[in-house]
Amino acid sequence: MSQILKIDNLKKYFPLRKGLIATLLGGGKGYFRAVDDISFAVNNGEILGFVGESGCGKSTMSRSILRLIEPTAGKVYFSGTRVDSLGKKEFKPYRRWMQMIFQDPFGSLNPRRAVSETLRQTIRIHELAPDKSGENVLIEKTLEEVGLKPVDEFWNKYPGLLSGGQLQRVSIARVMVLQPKLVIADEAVSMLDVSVRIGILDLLLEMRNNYGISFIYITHDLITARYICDRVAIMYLGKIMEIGPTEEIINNPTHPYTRALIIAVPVPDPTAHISELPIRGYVPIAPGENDAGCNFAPRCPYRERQCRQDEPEMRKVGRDHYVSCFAVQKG
Amino acid sequence: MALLEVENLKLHFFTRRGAAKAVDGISFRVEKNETLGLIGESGCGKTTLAMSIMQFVKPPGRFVGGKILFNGSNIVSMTDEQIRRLRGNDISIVRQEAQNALNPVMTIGKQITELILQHEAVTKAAAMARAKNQLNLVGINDKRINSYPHEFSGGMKQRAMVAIATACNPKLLILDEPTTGLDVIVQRQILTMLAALRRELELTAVFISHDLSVVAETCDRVAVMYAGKIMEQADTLALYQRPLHPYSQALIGAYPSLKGEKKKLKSIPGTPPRLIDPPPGCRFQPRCSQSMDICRKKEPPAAETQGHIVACHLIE
Repeated sequence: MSQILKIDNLKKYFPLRKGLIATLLGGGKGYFRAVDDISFAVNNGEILGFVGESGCGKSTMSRSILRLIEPTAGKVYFSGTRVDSLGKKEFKPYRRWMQMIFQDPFGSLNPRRAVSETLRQTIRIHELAPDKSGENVLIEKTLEEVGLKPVDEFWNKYPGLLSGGQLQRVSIARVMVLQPKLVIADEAVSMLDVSVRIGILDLLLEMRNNYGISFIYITHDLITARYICDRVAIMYLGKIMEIGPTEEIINNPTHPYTRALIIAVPVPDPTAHISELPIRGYVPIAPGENDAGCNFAPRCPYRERQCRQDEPEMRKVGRDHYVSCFAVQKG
Repeated sequence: MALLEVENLKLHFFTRRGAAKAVDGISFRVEKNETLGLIGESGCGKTTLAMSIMQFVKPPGRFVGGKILFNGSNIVSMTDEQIRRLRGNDISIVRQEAQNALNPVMTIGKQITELILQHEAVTKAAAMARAKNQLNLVGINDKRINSYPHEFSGGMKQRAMVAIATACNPKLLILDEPTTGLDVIVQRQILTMLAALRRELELTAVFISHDLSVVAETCDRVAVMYAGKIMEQADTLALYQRPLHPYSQALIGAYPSLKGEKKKLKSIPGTPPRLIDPPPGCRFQPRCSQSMDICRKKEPPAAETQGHIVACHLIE
């Protein structure tokens, strides 16, 4: 199985602002490690989910991969070519192959541009059609594909007249028309109603099945991740805690944080037994300098002295299933 | 007598393009110590309904008909003074996004004591002691009494909101999407806190949410709203195990779960209607898979059957 994307030791650090006196006294500068040494690969045609609470670095990670912000360190390989070190000009062709769908369809579309014109702009920038009638054919085909049918009804509509689900379909159409190889969907259904959410998820699945497009699906919601992801990675404070096949992670979670996440998810069944949450406390609010040891240790019920001193490495615990935890590795 | 009884309530927003019928002939009751869940998609009128119980409705919104009986007296016809005495005292609300509902330039302690002093003849010191007690009750250390909202995390802000809302021992608590926008672990912490609080204070509550799973574990009864109307009401267990209205069925059928086998789900085709010109007959009819001729002509009346109250021509 070939890999469309491979990430080695990706890091994105943000410098912390210090007060004047602290700067004068303290020697080194502090950093907030938003993405802290992450490695993974996405296979061709695979949907890989990243699940974590807000502030765990999911969005920073995806923006670093697409170089919407420049990563601090690490290597990014796209179809075997290293792309993080390319100059702006050399990187440009890759932008077409790596696309992103954002959370807020109301904010990511130009309100003054009709649906067809939004697509036309993308087509022109990337020179996908020879002339206007060629553009029209492509627009029509794409709108139909994302379920905005009958096309005539949507052609001249402005975003203000569309529902959230329809807007997200326009966003998807804008990405689809480029025939990308990798799409990062960042909380693509979080703002939508339940009744339309499944429709959008099915559309993403269809794109994968029909065109072999690979996805990184970023979400705080393990339930929608279960619906479309082949594998999921559980993130906490800039690190991957556990990664593996979706059903395996859900039915057989090993990391204490993954277990807590799964227990916390409410079930649409009034008879379901509600277990007590095994962890306490909050994700730290203020970005501070991360302590030594495992990032999750301060909230972990199983922590030992080692967890506060050393960082656990990724170890294999099952088929394609890896976890970064001393307690699990000891058994 | 039910603590809250809403009878054929109609509240419309009179806009330039016509009247948006956000709440259009809604009836339900909430018995003492009961929690009623109100579920529905965004824009179906859930929050407008909450606002009308609190009498927070402003023009162009206007009551067009119906009654809201709280302990037997009609809130709709009360004077401003009567409502002021009721609000925050007998009926309280926890709104969505505590971020915007808390006063950013006032300490949490001040926000709680102010409410107590408004409604009760107690000393400042006594109010302060009560405020500390409230914070402990919702799981915030009372040392934080002089903190400002921005010093709290999202979950703690929501806890603080609950502390304020329950400070005067309200008889009815309205929870409008109290955990929406929170992370799942924080949501679990808040739900656990709310459940304990309800037992301790013997609260009666209306719990508004678009999240079927949160409602499933929180509520005794559930009302399913669609486009300004209630489609079905039943005990929670009955509704989830045997929904009778096609909309309830579709909603539950579109809901994914982490438990059990992974199943293929079906989304509901189409989108909810605009409330200015809803479709004729049944409002769900254009999206309904079992729609018949009569559904387009006549609005189905709400009828009681097998313990459910259902508004659908299929059930008669």
